Amino acid sequence: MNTPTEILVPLADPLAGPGAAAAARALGEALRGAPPGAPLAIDLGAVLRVDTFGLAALGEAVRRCRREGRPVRVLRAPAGAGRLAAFLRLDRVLATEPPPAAPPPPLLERAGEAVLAFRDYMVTLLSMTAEGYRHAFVDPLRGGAVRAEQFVRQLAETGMGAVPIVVLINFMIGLILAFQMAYALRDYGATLYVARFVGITVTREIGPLIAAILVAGRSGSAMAAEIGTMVVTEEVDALEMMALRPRRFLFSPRFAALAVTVPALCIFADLAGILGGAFVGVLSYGIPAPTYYSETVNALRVTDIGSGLVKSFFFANIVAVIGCLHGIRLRGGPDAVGRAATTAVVESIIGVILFDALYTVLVYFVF
Amino acid sequence: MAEDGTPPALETRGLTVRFGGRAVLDRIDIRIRRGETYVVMGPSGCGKTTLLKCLVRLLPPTEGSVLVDGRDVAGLGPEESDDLRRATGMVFQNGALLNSISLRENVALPMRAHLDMPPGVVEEAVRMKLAQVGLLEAADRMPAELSGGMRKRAGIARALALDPRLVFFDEPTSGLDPVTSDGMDNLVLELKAALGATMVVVTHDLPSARKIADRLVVLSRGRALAEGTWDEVQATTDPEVRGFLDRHAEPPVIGEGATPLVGAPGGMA
Ligand SMILES: Nc1ncnc2c1ncn2[C@@H]1O[C@H](COP(=O)(O)OP(=O)(O)OP(=O)(O)O)[C@@H](O)[C@H]1O
Ligand SMILES: [Mg+2]
Repeated sequence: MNTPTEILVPLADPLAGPGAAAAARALGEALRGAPPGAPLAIDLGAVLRVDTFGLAALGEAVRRCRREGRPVRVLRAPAGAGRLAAFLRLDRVLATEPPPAAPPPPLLERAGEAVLAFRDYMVTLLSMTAEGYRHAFVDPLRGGAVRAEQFVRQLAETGMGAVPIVVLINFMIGLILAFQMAYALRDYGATLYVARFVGITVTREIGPLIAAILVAGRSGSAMAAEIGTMVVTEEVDALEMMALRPRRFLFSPRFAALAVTVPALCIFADLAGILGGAFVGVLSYGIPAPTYYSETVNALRVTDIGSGLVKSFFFANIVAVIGCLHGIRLRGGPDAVGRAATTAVVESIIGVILFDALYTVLVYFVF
Repeated sequence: MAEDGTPPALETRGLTVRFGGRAVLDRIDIRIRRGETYVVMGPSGCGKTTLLKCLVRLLPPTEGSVLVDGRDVAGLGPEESDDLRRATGMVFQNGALLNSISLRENVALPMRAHLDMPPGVVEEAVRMKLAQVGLLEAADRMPAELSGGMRKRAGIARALALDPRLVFFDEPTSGLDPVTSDGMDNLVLELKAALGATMVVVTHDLPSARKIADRLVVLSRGRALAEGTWDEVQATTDPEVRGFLDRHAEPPVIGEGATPLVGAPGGMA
């Protein structure tokens, strides 16, 4: 078998800017039509000017030839091209192959890893909650003024700031519940039961839940973003070096503050919800205000309100632990901060509702 | 005008910048010739970064003007302004890489946005730019996974992505060890030889300035105190310039509120 004839590709000047794109196309064309094994000769005789992209077009063609086992040579390269090639380390670039994309691991392996990661995550969450109780309640003000200051700041930020929105939203929900209930009861002439229904639903369920979800959105995300930013800017490392134990310094004041503010907000939520219901009951359905009041008071037992408050305490723990954890364990650059905040909100809302379901079932069947 | 009648690549006329009434740059007049490496020096806080930001049009001057190739940049239309930006590379003090994408994508970004090149060519060009700054092996890492020096070099690779004819460096050697820093100087010299680009380098590293500068200017408290070649600047007798060049302690007044570190009341409180 005789050797196939060499294919000559002359390139036009300039081998730069749009000319580089044209050269890349010409070389691609030539390689597509070439019989296998036929050597390629790239002629730069006409070329006066070369830039990075012209050189990259040449480099790409050379790499493809080498992959195909096709001999290739470059003819009459101008001096400038040689200098630029040396400057851009063309030899080194061509000597290395881009790494192939790693194949994804088999499905089973990935599923196994996900399960393990989830288990580790749950363990971390629980141990952090335990840590939170210890720091916040067992040895409360050891560590002195600095942490007390942080705690007060967090109280103001997570509590006071949230009052207006918690009141507004729960008032509206009380209103909506009352209308829907009155609609459901209309055929029984039992609109008076609206008071009882709204009172119990709001205190046992809606008040704590909405308060927790609003706090997750406002403060859970802020915690993840704040602490995450501190990780990125090495502030957390700086705290560590001042022997301030970042976990304690950042996490426990927030944990303790939420444990106070969420139940407090829950009380506001309960009142606003009941008020919303009364608004509808009195104004729309003509129930006299004193009657509505006594109906509500008679229907509500201390355990209704208490159960809601206890629940909201645990909700607070969930939001604080998840928010802080996503901040503290943040790795990477500033772009990870936004993701941490989003994840914190989503996960704490899921956590709150899962816990709520568990708690409700438990209370229903056990107590 | 330079001797041959072509306008300087870059020129400032009466450039003044005030922040809240305080002049950070005070009537600066400099001319940077085409293809030269021009170094801006001076003690910390003297306005070097501010000057650089005016030159690249990130900061509008309070008074005075900046001219590129003899044209006032304030009069450029949006199209011309974009063209000029594409022909300019800026190396930021800490790299200023986009943190959400890998090194490779950082360098590829301006190429993909501004050039109509086949993907294979862009890929090859990115690898060259990274090889040039010794980061070929780190191409797939994220910016957060790089050391400070690597980030700086990656910033250079990105600034050079489009083969600019004007390149600005903000402190390319600060925070680097002497060997890496020397490598950075060599890179600047190579860049000049291979691309013929005009380069403006801000630094307070004297050996580095001596090695790379065709001409340099010494700023202090917003004024240009001395300008010229290394030897010309060395020959000045201005005490402030001498103090800086001879590495005396920086002049006592470097800005408002500057207090001596030793013996300050309550210094360690
Ligand atoms: N946006 C701003 N607002 C107010 N003052 C500013 C602003 N930017 C800079 N300055 C002030 O201008 C002065 C010069 O700042 P600049 O960053 O240019 O200094 P520099 O010479 O680059 O210093 P270094 O060597 O430390 O980087 C400083 O005193 C700084 O406080
Ligand atoms: Mg600076």
